[in-house]
Amino acid sequence: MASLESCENQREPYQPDPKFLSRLLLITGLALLLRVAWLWSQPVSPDDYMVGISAVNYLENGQLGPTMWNHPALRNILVYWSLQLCGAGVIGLKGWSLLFGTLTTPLLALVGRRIFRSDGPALLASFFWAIDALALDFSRQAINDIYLAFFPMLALYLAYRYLERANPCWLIGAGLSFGLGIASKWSVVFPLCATGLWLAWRLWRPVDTAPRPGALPRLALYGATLLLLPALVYLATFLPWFERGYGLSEWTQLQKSMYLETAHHTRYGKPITGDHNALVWFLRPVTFEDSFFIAPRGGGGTPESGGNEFVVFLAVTNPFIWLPTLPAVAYCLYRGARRKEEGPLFLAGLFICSYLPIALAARAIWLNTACAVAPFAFLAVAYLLWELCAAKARRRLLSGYCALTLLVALPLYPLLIGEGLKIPHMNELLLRYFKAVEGDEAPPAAGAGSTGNGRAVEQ
Amino acid sequence: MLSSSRSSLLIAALMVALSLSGVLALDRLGRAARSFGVCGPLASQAVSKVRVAQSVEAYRLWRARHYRGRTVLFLGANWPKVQPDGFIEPPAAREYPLKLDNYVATLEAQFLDSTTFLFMATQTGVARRIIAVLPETGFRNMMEGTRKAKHVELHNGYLLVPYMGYPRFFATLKDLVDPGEPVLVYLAADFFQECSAQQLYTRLKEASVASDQVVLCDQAGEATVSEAARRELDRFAQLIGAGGR
Repeated sequence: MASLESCENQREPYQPDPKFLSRLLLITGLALLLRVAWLWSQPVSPDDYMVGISAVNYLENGQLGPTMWNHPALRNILVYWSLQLCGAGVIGLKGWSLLFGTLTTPLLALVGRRIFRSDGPALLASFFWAIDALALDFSRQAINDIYLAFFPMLALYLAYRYLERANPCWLIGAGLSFGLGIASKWSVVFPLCATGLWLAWRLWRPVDTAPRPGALPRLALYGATLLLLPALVYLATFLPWFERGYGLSEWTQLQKSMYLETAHHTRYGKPITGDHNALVWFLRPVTFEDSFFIAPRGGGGTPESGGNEFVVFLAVTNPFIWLPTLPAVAYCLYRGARRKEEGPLFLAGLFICSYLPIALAARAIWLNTACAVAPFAFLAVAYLLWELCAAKARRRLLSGYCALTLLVALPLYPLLIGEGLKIPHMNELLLRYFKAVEGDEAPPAAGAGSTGNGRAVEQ
Repeated sequence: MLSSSRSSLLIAALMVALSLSGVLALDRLGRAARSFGVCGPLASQAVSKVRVAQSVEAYRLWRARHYRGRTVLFLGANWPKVQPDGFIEPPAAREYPLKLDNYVATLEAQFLDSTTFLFMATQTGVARRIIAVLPETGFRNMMEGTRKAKHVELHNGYLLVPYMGYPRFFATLKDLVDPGEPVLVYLAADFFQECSAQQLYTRLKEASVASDQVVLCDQAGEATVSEAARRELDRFAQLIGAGGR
């Protein structure tokens, strides 16, 4: 790990964990297992289905939509390719989410060990990502929110590799990855800005040695790879749209339309309350709910629901992972400022840049957007826990904490894969949840597994 | 290993060149995707003029002639408003392998009619944008109806109300200006409820409207369209050298 040594300040010697790789493989294996288990029998949600329809529509007609037309187009392109390659099955539809959600696990560890110059918190963050309900939920869905975790983490890893090797190819890779992230959703612009500023700051930071030469050429390189290249990648994903006869001026008009739709997206009539208020995401457990009706295989639905079955995917944030986030970020800032440690400061900057615009948004923000923030939050929490338990005597405390986190994650798993209504006590809890969150809109017979109130019944 | 200042600058310059080329290439590719027939002023003999009974026939004609990426100039009293949101919903039975039909082909097969023909033109790629010229009352109604839309702009009498990203402009005849390219003209008989054939012809000429395909629609069977309006359409047909009914 000589290269890793060279990329950070040399205040404390970096001691790589000889078991890092094996532990990382184990955690990644766990992440993969939790993401594929029962995936083939998981009901196809209307969103999943419309992702497939939109992918075909975009690549064959050049038309954005019919669903989520205001988001950039990368998902349409990737899903269309996988549908062509693997057919309209689970892999064709959700293969990218599964891949990106799983690969974010080792990426968190690889980025984390570079930020903290320590393998322990890096592996801990990776473990959190492997078992967290939100990360699991969106790794199992066709919609592209999990891309918002994967592409920035990949870009950060490549940016660190650039600093280690001083080879611009890594930076070009980082620019491409940020570009693909922005072509998934615009929120990836925030970590890109943080990374760009951090790299630029490194050119002028005070160092013990002689002033570093060639700062301006390198700044030009950063601008080209982290501004122009992502913009070009983003633009290129609109190729099928351009093939409809549009020119560049019309493209800018389209971006304006997409922005206005996104800025005022209130389609479901939800106010900025409850879990749709990003300010509360790290203050109490929050949920992402996707409920729908589907015709069950081989029948079995009740007559009241038109023969359809009521399904709920409910991702509940694990309080042991999410709730220490804000103190953890504050600790990163304190530690970074006090000891002049670049890594924790950079991590805090990444979190603040990614979270603040969402938290201050003037409209309801669904928890799926948290996929763009969660990796930074998990890294910060892992760092705080690791530092609190720095003494060997306290390592057992950390093990206990992890065990508690896992214990809480266990009952959340059936909820997020849509099996909650089939489990007796969980069924009642879900019904209570609906009453609390949805009020009068609560499905009256949800406890029985079906109602007459839903999208599919309207066919 | 490219780590020197010179190589950094070289890569930056390459990126700039690549970005500029990419932007220009996409713009050019888009413009090249537009397909035109023989274009000219409306009265030109070279311009194809077709009289149809119903608007849906205009759409079928555009499709048959493989027009693509075009501006449609719609002239009518009533904007054919559609609510496409509910056209296609996910089916109740969704089992792997999913049946993922081409959305536009399904729309066209199931929902094409005299109201949806313009919407279909935007979906199938015939039209990349629409300029709808409405009578004063129709335009005022449109202004009122789109007040709460997420994206509305008013410039020089042109009301821009995009739908899912594709541009739709609304204007009155007095504000019509050169569309900047040959357009597919669709003229409905009911447009003549508030203006004469001569007035329309003069304004289109003043606005330098050029076309390769003019469709005149009698709107047969529509009770709201008067016989006087259809006679005015006849007169307009004579003015541009098109055949009568």
